[in-house]
Amino acid sequence: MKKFRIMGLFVGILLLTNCSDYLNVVPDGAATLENAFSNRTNLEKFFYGCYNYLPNYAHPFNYPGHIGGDEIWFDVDNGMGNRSGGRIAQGQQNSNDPYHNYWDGANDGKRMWIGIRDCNIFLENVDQVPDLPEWERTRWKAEVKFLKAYFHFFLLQLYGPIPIMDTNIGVSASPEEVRIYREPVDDVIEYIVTLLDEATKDLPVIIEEMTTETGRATKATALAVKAKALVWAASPLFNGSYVYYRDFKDKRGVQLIANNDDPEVIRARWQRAAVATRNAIDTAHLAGHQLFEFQRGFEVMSDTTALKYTLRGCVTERFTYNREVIWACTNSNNEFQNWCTPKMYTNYPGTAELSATLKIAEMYYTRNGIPIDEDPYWDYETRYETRVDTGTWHKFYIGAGETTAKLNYYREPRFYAHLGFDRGIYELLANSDEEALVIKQRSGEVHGLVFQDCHPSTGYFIKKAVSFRIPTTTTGPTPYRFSIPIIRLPDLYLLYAEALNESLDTPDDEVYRWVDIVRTRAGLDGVLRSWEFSLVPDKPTYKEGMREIIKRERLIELSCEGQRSFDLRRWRDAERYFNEPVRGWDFQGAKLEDYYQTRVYFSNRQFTYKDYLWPLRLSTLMVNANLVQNPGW
Amino acid sequence: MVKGYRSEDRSNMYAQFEARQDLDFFLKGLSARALFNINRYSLLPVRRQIVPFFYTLAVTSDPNSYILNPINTDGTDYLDFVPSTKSLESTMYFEGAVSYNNVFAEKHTVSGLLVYTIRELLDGNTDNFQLSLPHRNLGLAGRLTYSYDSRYFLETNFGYNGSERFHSSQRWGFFPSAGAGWIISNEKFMEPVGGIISKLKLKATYGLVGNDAIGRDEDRFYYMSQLNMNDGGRGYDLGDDFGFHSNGISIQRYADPDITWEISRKSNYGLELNLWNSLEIQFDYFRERRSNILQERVSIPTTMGLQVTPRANIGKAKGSGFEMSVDYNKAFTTDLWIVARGNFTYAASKYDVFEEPDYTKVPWRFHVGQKLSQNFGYIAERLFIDDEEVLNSPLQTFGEYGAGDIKYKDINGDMSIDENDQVPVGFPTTPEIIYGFGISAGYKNFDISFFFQGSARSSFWINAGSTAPFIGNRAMLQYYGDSHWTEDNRDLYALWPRLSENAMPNNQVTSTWFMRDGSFLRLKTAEIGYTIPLNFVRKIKMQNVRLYISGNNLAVWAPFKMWDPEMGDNGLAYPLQRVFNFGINIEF
Repeated sequence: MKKFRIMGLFVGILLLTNCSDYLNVVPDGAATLENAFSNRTNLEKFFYGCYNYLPNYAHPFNYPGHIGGDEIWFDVDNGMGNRSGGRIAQGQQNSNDPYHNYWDGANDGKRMWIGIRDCNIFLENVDQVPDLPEWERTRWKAEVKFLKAYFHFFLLQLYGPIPIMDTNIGVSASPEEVRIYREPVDDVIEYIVTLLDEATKDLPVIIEEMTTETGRATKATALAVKAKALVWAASPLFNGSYVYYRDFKDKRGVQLIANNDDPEVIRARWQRAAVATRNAIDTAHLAGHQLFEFQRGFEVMSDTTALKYTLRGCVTERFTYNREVIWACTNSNNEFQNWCTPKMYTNYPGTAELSATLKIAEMYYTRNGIPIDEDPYWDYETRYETRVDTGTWHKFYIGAGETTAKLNYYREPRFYAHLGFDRGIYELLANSDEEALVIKQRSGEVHGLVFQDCHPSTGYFIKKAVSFRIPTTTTGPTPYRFSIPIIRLPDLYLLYAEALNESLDTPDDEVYRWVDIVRTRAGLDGVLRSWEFSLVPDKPTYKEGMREIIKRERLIELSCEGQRSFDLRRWRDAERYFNEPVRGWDFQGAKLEDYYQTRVYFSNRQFTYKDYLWPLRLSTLMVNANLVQNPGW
Repeated sequence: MVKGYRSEDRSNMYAQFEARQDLDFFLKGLSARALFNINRYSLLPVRRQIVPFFYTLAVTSDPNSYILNPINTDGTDYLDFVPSTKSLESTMYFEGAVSYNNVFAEKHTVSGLLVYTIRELLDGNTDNFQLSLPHRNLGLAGRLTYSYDSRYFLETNFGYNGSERFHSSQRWGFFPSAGAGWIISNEKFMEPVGGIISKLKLKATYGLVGNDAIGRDEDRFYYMSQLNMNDGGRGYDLGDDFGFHSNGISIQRYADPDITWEISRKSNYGLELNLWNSLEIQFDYFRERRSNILQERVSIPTTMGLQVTPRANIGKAKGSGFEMSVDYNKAFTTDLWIVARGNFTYAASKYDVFEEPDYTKVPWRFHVGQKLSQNFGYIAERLFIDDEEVLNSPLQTFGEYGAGDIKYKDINGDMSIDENDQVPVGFPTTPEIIYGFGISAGYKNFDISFFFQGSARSSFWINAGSTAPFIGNRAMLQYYGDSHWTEDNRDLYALWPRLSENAMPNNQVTSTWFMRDGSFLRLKTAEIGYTIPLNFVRKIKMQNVRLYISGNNLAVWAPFKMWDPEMGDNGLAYPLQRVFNFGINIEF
């Protein structure tokens, strides 16, 4: 019966393998979402993961504020033209597969809803983490609330009415539960404001650990975002005055954007925005934020050069020196900077193709602090002609004895600080005033068109996006990393002036004061004094004139920082500006007279009322039939 | 050029232990057996190689001289070690069975079988937690058959299977099946025609089949969530000088304990017929209804903010078809023999339930009622004549386009060509008909054989993206060069639209423009042989010598001419090879 013993062995094996347990191959303790909340270390990762969903401000491919407006142009045949921003700038936005789709997370957009859901998951679970000190729990919660509010605000700026995702819907929810509605713009802004108020009270006034925490939210950050949200609520696009939104209702019959254009109601909106903005400014001052001024070290330089560093450094300098920045996305890297850096290196397979359009160059004031077509002392009619630099006034602006367009002469310091142009000086700390780098970008010249290497597309390099701390002796670009500000002080000052001006019948000294702070720093006289000499001396004295002045000041001060296209949409001015032809100098011209021809690089964009808001993707509307499309799409 | 060495050390250890026990003393016809084996496989490949330096040639003004420009800087002109993938696998298998077999009263045959199996596979080369866990299967299968007088047959089967992939509540599946058969040729009344009809059998089966190999292998455990607890892509940089970085946490799968077996209900009706002992015909008609098909929950809106779209057992599909084969095998004389064989399969399928958005306004987009591998695309009308026509036509929303680009049909008439204008186009991408036939024949010392295979009722699309000329310095296909739209030659039905240096999304969306018929008939193999006469062969002390010439993939007949349709969408990829062999078989 030996065989039986062997069989017994087999039966033993069979019995030992208890069926169900045998198939339980996953051991206890495998990672689940609960692990994220098991201790502080894991929670910290989840916490920073919430910050991760901020848009990438420094990437020309990803951030919808850079390319897609009328501010920056690019080489349409060289890659950027096929990216989302380039497509939008060429009038190709569509509802089939929208560009910069931040709703669904497609075409260079992030799915913002994931960020919001993560914030909710964090807030739902943070209280169960055992080893988190109470003060830290409070602060982290406040920061996540802030982020949740900001994500909603970011979507609102693109899409207008959006669903409010205050709590998460379970993964296994029924189809009816997940088909949510878009909420009216005013409700969304009210929600954002409430959430920010909640966050503000627990946020720190200042960041103490600057080496590890700069970039995180403070009271000033939250109040500044709140101010911006309320300014959006008061601005023409959303304040009830836009006729195209008069019948914008969803399937429940809910009016999605206000349609009450009673001037007093709108004035009340502006008053509320003004109070919030002032509160943000005061809090920022209290926290030590102040306008940036370049501090000279051992470098010997002219006051002019130092002023240019001040006006550029307020964007390109890091927080330690630059206390003007209230909030920036520290996760952003150098992509935008690299795309804007001229070809200054021997071995540079880069692109250097992002340039400001001719319109931006014309937008800056003359040296008298007024628009080029309002300055009787500036020759507007002949501005596209060229002349030789003879005087000493341009010593630190234009290469000595060089010839360039008259447009580039006798302009305000911000023009020279923000833009680089042919025969203009491209100041870098590595070069002294005497050996300053002079841009030469006619075709075939060192910074000019070189096939497959360098594609300067209009003739105006965006100096403001390139740090003056980059070295010039390396063979390739070595960018100096900085964070493009999301909000800096002049932004708030000018919002405040705008909100005040809109809430008053005629501008008062307080309105001038805040604009003048920005102008003074830029080396210009105040508004009233500057316009005295202009062709329209009374312009600052009445509301509409002052509105135009504030808008222009804002567009100049915040140019090429990803703000302009948002502002123009908010003001409902985009139709006027975006449909203008894109112009620049002829970068294919090798000779002086060929280069200084204005060329139209793109025209006929056909930006209409519908383009003020992003389209929702068609398939998204199919999946959730309770969502309605934005008007016109 | 030799660039190095590669050696492989492979070992396979196999130990098996088996026992059988006759249990006649307990019940006549009862026996038991058990089997246990362990298999260990390992592979240790080693590569030592050089990486050459490459140069391009550049001419100089001096015609007798040239310069070399280096292309790569990572060359090693010495032997270097290159890591290769090592492999280590271990499997364990146990099988225990009890079987019973008995004949009662000479005509009643009864048999039964119960098999219990355990299988485990351990893979040592995984780099992720879930794949590193053992793969295990556990099952109990049974069979009970009864036959009467070799004429009537009944059979029932069952499988009771457990899968590690599902939550314990969904883990076990019970899959029974039953069948009946009737061999008519064994009936008495068939005896008169027994010389002609050597076999005639009718059969029918119905049963359930379960499938647990659903989804990708990385998604083994649907009932568990999967997270990346240290995801660099979800991190954040902070600090004045960006000195602080923290990784984030990301979710790669949401837990769903309800995921379970995909089930198909199969029925099969067949006929087997053999005539003159040389012509065998088999015919089967089959139907299948699949349910619990794993599918993405596309009805979940993006506003939910889920990082991945969950899946669930929601899809339902049915299919039917028939399969036929004919075999003819005959030796007419000792010198002349022939073997012929043919097969033909037709199978069609369609979705009964498919989770998709509410397409009631655009019903042509529904997948329900469509075939499983049905493609959806736009209907291309022709190329645009000029820019004026572009302006006067519905807006196409795929990107820049103009004269000479493809003009699509506006199905729903909303003056915009978008997603909603997609309709089912063409046949499914997998052929509905597959067939093959071949003959081998011999006469005296010569033999010849060939085999054809073919497919029909399928469509494929020329990949306009990866064959587009000029993109990435790609050259132009002669076919495109011969037929494309130009300003001077506005051929509205040219093979290729307007040429462009850039990718043209408008011309690359799935449409009928680049849709082609995928059917073909191929001479897959052919062979001619000659066997040298035995009396000659024996003289040189050999048993058998045969010379032959054979070829693979010798010819293809297809409506699509640009390249071999089996290459699919990209004619610039590596083609199927035509192979000729010449050989001698020698037996000593």
